[in-house]
Amino acid sequence: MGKTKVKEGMPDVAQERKGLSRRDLLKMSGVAVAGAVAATLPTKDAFANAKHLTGRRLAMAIDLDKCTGCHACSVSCKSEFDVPLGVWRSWVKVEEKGTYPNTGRFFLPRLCNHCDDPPCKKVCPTGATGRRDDGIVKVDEKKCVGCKLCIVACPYDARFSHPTKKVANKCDFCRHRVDKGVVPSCVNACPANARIFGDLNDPDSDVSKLVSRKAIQTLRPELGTEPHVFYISAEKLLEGGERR
Amino acid sequence: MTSYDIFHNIALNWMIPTYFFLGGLSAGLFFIAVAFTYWKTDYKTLAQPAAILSPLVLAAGMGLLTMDLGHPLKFWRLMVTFQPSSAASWGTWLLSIFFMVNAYFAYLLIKGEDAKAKRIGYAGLPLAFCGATYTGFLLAQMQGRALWHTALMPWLFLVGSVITALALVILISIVLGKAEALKDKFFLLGRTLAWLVVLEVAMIAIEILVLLNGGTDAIAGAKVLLKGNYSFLFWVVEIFLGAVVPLSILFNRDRSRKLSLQSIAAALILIGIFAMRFIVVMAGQI
Repeated sequence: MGKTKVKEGMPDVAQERKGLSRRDLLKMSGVAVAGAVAATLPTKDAFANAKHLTGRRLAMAIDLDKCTGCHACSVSCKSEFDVPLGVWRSWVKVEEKGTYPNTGRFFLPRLCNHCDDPPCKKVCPTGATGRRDDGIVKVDEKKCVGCKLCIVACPYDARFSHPTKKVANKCDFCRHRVDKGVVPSCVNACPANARIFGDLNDPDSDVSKLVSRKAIQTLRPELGTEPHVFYISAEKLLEGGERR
Repeated sequence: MTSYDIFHNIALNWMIPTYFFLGGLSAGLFFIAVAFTYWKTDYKTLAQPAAILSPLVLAAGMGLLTMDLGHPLKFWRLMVTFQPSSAASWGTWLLSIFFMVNAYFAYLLIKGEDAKAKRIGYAGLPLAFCGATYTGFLLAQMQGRALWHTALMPWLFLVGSVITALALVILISIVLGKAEALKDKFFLLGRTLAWLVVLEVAMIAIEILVLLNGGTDAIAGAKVLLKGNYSFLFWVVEIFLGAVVPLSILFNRDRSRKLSLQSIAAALILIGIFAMRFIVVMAGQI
């Protein structure tokens, strides 16, 4: 299938952008100087230059002050995985509140929370749902019989029954990408840099710094699932209020 | 406040509550078959139909459960593993063993090997108990669904399964013409059934009252039943047709003596418990 080709080729917008900025720098200053600068240039996503591919605890922080609700993440996810119509691995919830002229509009990008204690894994009768050491909760499509219990067990509605494959499906943090040190597709596509992805075990990673320094929220923390998608500046109506 | 959420699906359809209904019915029938053979021997004539029906009903339920899988032919994946944290995995093994014990018990009863049947029947009782309660626990295991995540759920399902079994036995004995022979003793069955329905309704009332005193999720869950999408099914089918009407027949001395009314009551109770299972499974997903 064409999909695998895309994976191998890695047409990564972030890397292209980096390339562009390097070219600009080359024009401005001499080749030798620029070469030295480019070598030490802090890359836009530190994840691509992450020191380790092992011993990681992958996590995402989403800065809702930056999110403009453009749905680029939803679209890039759709194309990354050929997600059929009507179902989403990644989507954006929108909430409006107040009455004119005092109104507000908020966005909540959603995806699998990659819980430390995933309720979906607990109920799976075949062991198809597993949690990798780096925290990615994944579905083994070979083992999945399509009983749909994980879909109802997920408190975040992150799962769905794949309309054609007839197995449980959901966000897997783009494990085919992150295993090669490249950020997930939605992070790559986000024009506002609202999504920050990386390794929580690496104290120098952007996501570690954000999660340590900022006031963060996770969805439905009272359930004890320990989600690893962290929201900065979350509006309470988005996650509470009308539950879904 | 307006909310746009593009994604929410209802994953479980009518097949799952139907399987819960049939699985519970089978466990209840087994319990009744054992009870009528060894403890309440006055009703021994009713034991054999119950024992024969039990594995058949269970087979139908398990067939439905398999058909509901996204990949029915991959069901063997369930049989080559055991996941201790998953109620469904426990259920797979439990039902497989229970089915064999259940069918063997019916076979022994038909052949009249009483001594052996007694051993097998008693061995099957804990299996029947677990079979009737595990489906409730399966739902209770999901901490994100307030309507399901309650310790009452397995007991609600257990009482429901005994009710459906007793109602079906009453119905069958009327159809097969075994009711007249039992005379007054037969109406005692109807009275027992009525009290079990009272217990079930009381449990549902307690469940809803506790939910209404809970957090936002719990209150929302209760309101789906009381005035949401499933309120018609809940109030009209489950409570009025499934409990109020049959109770008004079974608790009335004159009405309960009429076999026609008695069979209507039993049929309504069966419909009411089916509605209960359906509502619990569907409303819990909203």
